[in-house]
Amino acid sequence: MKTPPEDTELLRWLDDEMTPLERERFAARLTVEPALRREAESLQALRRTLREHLPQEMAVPHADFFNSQIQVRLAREVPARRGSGPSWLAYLRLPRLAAAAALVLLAVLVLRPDSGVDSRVLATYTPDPEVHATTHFSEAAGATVLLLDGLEEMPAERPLVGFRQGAADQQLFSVHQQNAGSAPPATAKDETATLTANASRE
Amino acid sequence: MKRLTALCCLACAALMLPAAEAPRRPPDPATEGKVWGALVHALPVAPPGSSPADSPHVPNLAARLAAAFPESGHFEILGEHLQDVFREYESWVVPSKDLFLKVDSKGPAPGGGVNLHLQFWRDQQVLVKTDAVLRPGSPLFIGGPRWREGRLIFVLALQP
Repeated sequence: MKTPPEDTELLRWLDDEMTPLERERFAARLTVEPALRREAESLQALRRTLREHLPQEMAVPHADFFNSQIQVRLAREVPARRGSGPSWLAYLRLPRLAAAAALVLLAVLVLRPDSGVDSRVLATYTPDPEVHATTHFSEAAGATVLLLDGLEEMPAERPLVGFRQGAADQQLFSVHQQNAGSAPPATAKDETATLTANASRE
Repeated sequence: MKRLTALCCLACAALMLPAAEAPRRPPDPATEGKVWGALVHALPVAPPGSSPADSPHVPNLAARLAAAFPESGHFEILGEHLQDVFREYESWVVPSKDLFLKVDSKGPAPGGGVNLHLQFWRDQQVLVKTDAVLRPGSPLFIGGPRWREGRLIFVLALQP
């Protein structure tokens, strides 16, 4: 395998990023270096194949979610990367590595283990950067667990008002109050009805 | 001839496989199914006079919660809500006016269950947004904020 600087020169030639003088010198090298010429032809063929078989644009599922997660992660990574050397991401410019990464990603997306029995969390996004979400499947519990850390604690003096509701008639069966002194939620049924009647979608 | 028959069988099986994997729609055209949501208070020890979490919607709920949240020894249901998941509209699972869940259906999931976009709310604030596949018999436990000496847990289960 070629070292990154050599491959970078080859990539610049492939991407037509060379100055006329550089391009002329590189073309001269291609005529006298059969190994380099074979490498260049191989990469050109690979690029043609990829362009012919991969769509130019692919729709990202739940794009708003995806984008917001990327923004959050970028914001976290920028301070850590300041002052460091060239990013390892630069190596992804190498076509073979990029193609391999794409194949791995495709394999993860297509062949990811899905039992077809258990619930799964596919993606999470926490608007508050202080809050972190982690997920795992608990075999012992037979349940998927989504843990939120960094949440602000609920005030201990705050009473929580729970409802007991059935979907069939949306009737409020009972009100479960955690604090005897708190006011009963007289509007509980109305609140629920209002929420479920809101037909707008984001 | 045998080879031809075998090839025909293989072709039929290959054609039937996607049909078998295809998501099934429930009989009600307006909904994707029902979910049961509950707000549970997890505590290290049981307070006097309290009863452990129990519900016909999630068998062995207390034991399963204890397995998922081993730091807690007692689980009490503060509120619960059985709610239809509408196909075209958002649904809200509101076992409590303090913590509740917005549910958007993204259609049936391959192999059973339903694809959902969930938003876990506290008052006017979204705590987390998540895309999930919910399947019957496999609940989702959301470990929420701490309250008093324990933690609040939201349980969401797709009903068969």
